[in-house]
Amino acid sequence: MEQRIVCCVCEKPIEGEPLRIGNRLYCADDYAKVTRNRRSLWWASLLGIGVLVVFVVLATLIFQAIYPQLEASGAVPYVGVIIALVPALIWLAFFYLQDVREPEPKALVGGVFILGALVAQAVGIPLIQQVFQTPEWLSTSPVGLHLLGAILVPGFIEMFLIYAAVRYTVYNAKEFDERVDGVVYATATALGYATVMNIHLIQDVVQAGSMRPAPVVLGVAENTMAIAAFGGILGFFLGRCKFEDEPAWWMPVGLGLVAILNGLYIFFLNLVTTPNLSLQGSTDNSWLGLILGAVVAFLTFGVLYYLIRRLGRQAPQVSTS
Amino acid sequence: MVADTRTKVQRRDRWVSWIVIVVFVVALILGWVVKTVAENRYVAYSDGTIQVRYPEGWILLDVESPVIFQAADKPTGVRTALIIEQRPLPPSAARPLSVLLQTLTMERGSNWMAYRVLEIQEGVEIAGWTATHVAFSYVETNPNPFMETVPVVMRGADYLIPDGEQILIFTVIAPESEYDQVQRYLEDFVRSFQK
Repeated sequence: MEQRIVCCVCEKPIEGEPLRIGNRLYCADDYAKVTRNRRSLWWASLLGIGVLVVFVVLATLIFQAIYPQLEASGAVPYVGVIIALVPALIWLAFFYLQDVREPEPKALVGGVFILGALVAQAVGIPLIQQVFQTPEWLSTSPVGLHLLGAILVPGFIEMFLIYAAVRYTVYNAKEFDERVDGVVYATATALGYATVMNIHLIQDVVQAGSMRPAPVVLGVAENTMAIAAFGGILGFFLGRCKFEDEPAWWMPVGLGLVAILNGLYIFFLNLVTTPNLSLQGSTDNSWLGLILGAVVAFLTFGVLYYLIRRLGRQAPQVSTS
Repeated sequence: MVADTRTKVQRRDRWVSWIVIVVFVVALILGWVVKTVAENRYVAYSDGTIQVRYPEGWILLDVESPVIFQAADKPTGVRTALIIEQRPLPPSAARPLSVLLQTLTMERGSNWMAYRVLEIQEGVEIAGWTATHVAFSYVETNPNPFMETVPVVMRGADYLIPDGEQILIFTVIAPESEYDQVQRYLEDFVRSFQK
């Protein structure tokens, strides 16, 4: 009986010596793709975060200078939706401007973005706010319970839903053919999720009686940068899970890690941005939240860039047809 | 005949997916435990005549009649508080509860800035009692007009519960931004009350 060795990605017979990552066998083309770094992603993330911070600072200063009366003009819903969408649009725009060599299909990236938004609206936000009722107990609990609650409830729910949206859709698609694609698709899904969170944040502010655009813009930017960053880490684990011979605990540990990071972020964000209410007025600490979000996002994408670059360097270089 | 040698990864991927789902479900169960613990952190109080439970970490404040119990989340400033008042029912009135409600409104109206009753519900069942529920708001401000302070809108709710010839008034007050979160304190407070 003739024995053929088949590539684990394209499932075509491999001519010559197969290339390996762990026990997985690859043809030269797929091996080159899997181990490729995608510079466009890192540039998009770097520029996206930078431009978002500049946008937020400018928008906040302008709003604070002119105090627009949005309620009177009936512009609240339009301004709200624009503010909620801007961070995601900035990242997606930069990604597509940079992603010219071998672009990811727009339909897939857009599809997971919409799927992220749908799972947030249909499952994530109702589960966190209505089933677990976190607004009623999380921030008023003592430090230990606050931290545990932030990790176990919003931390795990948000990250699991982003994981599931990628794992059960695009993960199995043939376009998911590079290790770094995990980061691309999970970040896009996370941005969709964050956009719906932003819309809810704006809705809550409007329902509370006043649309003060400056703190809302800050809140939206904080949400987006952090969730996108943690989505990126989750994607790194997904990418390696698909293309490398990682042990069975790899993905559960990855999910646990991002849930812990997400929970820690939620905890510290609450801690630094909660206004101190007194008869002397309340202190507005929204800027600290923006700084925290930007630092988390820069650090996360920086570490991911380093890890993926290191993996690429460790892999033997091959010439592709 | 040709046999393919391929890496058997799909079955392991399915296992990994199931492990991730199990981890998620375990996290949710633990999250529910944390929620339950967080929502039930109370301290018992007893002075020989009444027993009640109030949130852990709150401070007991000195009281003067008709207030028989008061606990707050901080000693001064804008604070969230739970209060019990005990007042006699007006004996000669045809509808003593309505008279008492009017008296309460007049007193608060003169002592609390911009006091407004928002809603009155009669015949509300709570902890085996039939109570009258009153929702209200007012503005808390520093009395020193030279102090650079911003007034704070406060929200509150009462349960008025007749008890023989007396009436017990269980009240929660909180800054408007925290009111939704603390409403459950009032219900737990009333449920924990024993004479």
